[in-house]
Amino acid sequence: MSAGSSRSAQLAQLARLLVDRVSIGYTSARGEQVLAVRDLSIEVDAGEFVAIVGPSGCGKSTLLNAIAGLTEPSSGAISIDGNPGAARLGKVAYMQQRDLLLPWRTVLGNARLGLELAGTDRHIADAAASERAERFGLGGALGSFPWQLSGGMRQRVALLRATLPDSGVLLLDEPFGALDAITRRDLQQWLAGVLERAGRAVLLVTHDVEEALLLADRVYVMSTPSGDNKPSITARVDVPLPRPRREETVTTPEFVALKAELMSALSATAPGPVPAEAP
Amino acid sequence: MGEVPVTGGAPVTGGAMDGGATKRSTAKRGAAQVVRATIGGWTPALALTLALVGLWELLAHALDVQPWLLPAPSEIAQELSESFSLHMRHARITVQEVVIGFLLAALLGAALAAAISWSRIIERSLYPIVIASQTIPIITLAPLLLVWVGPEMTSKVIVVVLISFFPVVVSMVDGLRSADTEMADMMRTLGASRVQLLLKLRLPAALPYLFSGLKVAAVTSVIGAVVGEWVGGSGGLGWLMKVSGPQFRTERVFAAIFVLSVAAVLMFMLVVAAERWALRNHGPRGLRAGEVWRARK
Repeated sequence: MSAGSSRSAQLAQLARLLVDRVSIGYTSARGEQVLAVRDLSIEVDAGEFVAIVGPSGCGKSTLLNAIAGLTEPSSGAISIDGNPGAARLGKVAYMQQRDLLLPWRTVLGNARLGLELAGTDRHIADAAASERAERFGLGGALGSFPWQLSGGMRQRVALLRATLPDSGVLLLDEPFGALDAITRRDLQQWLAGVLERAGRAVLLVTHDVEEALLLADRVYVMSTPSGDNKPSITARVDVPLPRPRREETVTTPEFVALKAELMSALSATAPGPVPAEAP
Repeated sequence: MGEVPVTGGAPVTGGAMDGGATKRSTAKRGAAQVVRATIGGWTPALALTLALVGLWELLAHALDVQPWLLPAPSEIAQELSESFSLHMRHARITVQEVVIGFLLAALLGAALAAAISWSRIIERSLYPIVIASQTIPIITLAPLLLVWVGPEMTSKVIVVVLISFFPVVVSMVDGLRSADTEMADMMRTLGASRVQLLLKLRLPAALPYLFSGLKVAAVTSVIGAVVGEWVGGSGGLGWLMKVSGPQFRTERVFAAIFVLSVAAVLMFMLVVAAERWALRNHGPRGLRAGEVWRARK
């Protein structure tokens, strides 16, 4: 492991996002300290797309909230561009499962929100948002209100809003989890396309193994915190599949093999059938 | 005594309702549709009122009730048409007090709500006082206000504000708290400050709640103005009622009540119109009664 730790010290200089031995705890309703994330380390470089897969309740969202700066980890460090002490709010783009669009704002008004909050001139913000909206396939919807759009369109607007301030790190928390399967596949392809040219570090959290393999360069498997002291990350799988990955990719033997590897890593993390709790 | 048109209440009403319905279904679009939707919504209320008034008229004649005890609607209508300028002169005074008091109550209520939702300490210190202030019977306070600030309009406006700011505060506090916490988190990840969160998330999210409070306040403002005038003063519909009662001009009291109700309903409708305008972009959730705006798209 000594080689590994020296490598991570090196990466602290290089990696755009470095999560270093982070544990995140909370106080349960009964007043006990519970760890939602234990001793978790990952790094994502600029231009890299990394996915974390794990069962529901494994602490994925807790982790992303901490990376975004909404909460602080109990121990360990999170650094952006090798800067562990810096404030992260406003510096990390974060897109959640719910689109969270402000219902009283148009697509344009929602899209420019990040620039507006940063005090960017309204005309410059609007111009930047309209230009990017064109590329996102939202050019015709700028004047529409969220309640007039389909779920897929709303997610596009949410991604446009999150990425418009051009922060170096993008967090995606089950971004397509609430969509139907067909829209979901469309948007995965679309996401791979729009993000290809941007040199940011992307961290995707999902429970969909195929989604992770279609989009990511590297996939981590995260387990539900348990009584023993095992760290949250239980496996790491590199995805050397060529890009662009299309719908047919999922049937190639390489893809199937990777999927099988991830599935078995995932099932190893499963705590097994939950014993019925005594009332 | 069937010389006044209200007598034939029920059949006339039925006709008006049918007319309204066909007009609505054939209506195309535009501002006219908004107006029609607003008024169209009131057709059933108008129908019921006319039916009850018709019943009242019939009973007043059938039971031969003395006019000074309970005048028939036709007698009230006669008083209103004969002394129309008198009623309008006093209505103008009352409406002035109501409008000024209502606007001040809205401002004060919204400002207090913003302060209460801003910090826990302000909430814990201020909110109980605001609530306690409402347990002071306004009828005991109004005479004191006369002594303190004089019998002019100011004392009435203060009564209106005292009675009307409370529903605004309560609904606005709930509204400011109603903002989605995940939306607040999303805005924080975009770098929003506390002031930006208030202005760009909590305030717009609170608007539907604010208007619920304003609708209540619109009606309580009218009550407040009448209470203020009743206690002391030299004009307004409340004063007119107070002096007409002992003169056994009961039909004048009822005519003043009628004018007052019309003023209150108009106030309410104005607030509803303002609500439709302010919430025009809030989507179907914000625009509970505003289907028409979606149809326009």
